[in-house]
Amino acid sequence: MKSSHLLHILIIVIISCILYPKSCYAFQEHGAKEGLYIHQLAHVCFGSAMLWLFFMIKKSAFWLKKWWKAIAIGGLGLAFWNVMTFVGHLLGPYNVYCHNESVTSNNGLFWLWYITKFDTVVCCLSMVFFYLGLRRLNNSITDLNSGMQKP
Amino acid sequence: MTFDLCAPIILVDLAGGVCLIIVSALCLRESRNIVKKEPGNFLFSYMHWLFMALFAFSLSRSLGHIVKHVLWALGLEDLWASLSPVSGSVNSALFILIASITVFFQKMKNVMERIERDRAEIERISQELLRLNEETELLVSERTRAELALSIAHNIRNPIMVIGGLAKRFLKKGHLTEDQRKKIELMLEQIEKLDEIVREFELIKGKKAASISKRDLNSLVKTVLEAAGPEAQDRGIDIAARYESRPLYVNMDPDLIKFALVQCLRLLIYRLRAGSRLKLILKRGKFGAVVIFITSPFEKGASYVGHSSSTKTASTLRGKRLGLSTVRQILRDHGGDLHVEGHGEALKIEIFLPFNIGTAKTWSRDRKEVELPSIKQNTDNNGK
Repeated sequence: MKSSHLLHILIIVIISCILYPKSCYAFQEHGAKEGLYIHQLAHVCFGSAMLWLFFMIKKSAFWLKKWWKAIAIGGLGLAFWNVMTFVGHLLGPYNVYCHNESVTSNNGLFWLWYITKFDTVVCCLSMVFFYLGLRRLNNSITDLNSGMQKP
Repeated sequence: MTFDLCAPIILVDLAGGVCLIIVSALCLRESRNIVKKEPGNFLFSYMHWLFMALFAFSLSRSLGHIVKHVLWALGLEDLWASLSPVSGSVNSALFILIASITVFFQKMKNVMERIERDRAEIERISQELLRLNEETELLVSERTRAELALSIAHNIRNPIMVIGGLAKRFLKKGHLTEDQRKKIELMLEQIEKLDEIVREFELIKGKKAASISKRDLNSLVKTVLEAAGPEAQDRGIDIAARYESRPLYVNMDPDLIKFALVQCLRLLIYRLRAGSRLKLILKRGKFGAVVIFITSPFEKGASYVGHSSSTKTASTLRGKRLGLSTVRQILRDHGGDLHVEGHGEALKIEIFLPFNIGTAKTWSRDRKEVELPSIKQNTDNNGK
């Protein structure tokens, strides 16, 4: 669309607003839910970034090296952690039941939420993979610099 | 049926939180060591930034969870209710930070890859320039040797002719003793031998120097395609050639013209991306032969022809491929000319060579008369 067309539309909108006024407010109030939406969106961003890291390594020649594979798996693990926590946040109301230490066992969604509460395990494992990869990468660079390993 | 389910969650959360802080701190230490060893590596710098952000995230998340459980245990749930949004916001901000670092790296990675490609291209051009320089030096040395040989022959022949003429005059006058006559005849005989040696020397030199001759451009172009064919194949460029049905005799130095045509062909081969098509058309013009190199993007984008400025595009090409100025010089030495149209991959190069050197000076003005035939018949892929 040309900029002149956009200008025409804008002029029409402004004229319409002037001719048909309604109640307006200086700024929009933010409800409590917006915080959750922003947090969920942040999870999507974080997860996407980790997925990108995984595929970047997977598609490149780095994938041939074990330490890069470990780093890629760490990234994939964190992406999965984001999915887990995203689902956990969606199923947030079950938190109340757990806090009351009483729940019926035949609720499938509850058990899904319950599994997501162990997201720390996935997060820790991902970090361990990152650490193993980084340590071996560090060692390989040391070996390379000291001439022990062919580049 | 009821369960006490909170205990495992709390235990895993507390232990996992502490573990997460420790492991992420170790990751940060390793990434810092790596970046210290390779400070110029952009990927390692990104990883260091990433693990700094991941450490901050681990710290924020784990501390938040630990504090939550402690406050709950102490019955300060209201206090946690007021702290919880702060903890969640910090976590959200860190997630966005991690994503931003990655997006930045992704963009920079593209830039770095482009820089790397440009560096390789500069290295290739440098190599080509070196080769071109060597070839030019060879041409110059051959020409110098030929001129030197001519000069030597001339300098030897001049005194020989003078001495020979004087000896003949002495013999004609007839006032010589028998002994003197024999000596002068011997001298004359030696002079003739020397003249013969100079003639032979000239012939040897002439084999190199007198290289301008009538040659069939069809067969020369075939050898050009044979020379550049492997490079085109390596780069995945398909070359189609259309020759003139009859022999196209042009007065030229075949070595120089072959060099010029190969240069043009290489220029286009390295400009095109894999899978592109390059056409080579030989055409009999009014005053000479026309060789046209045309790329498939040029044919598709017909608008290029109308909008391109030949002077501008030619100078752009000259800037990128230094060999083209040499090609133009070689062609001008033959009384021909070069015309370049288009830009980027969409290029058309037209070369004109007069049938005889020194004729058809108005080719540039009459150039539009040359029509492009479509390559349907008489097509020879990759010159084979």
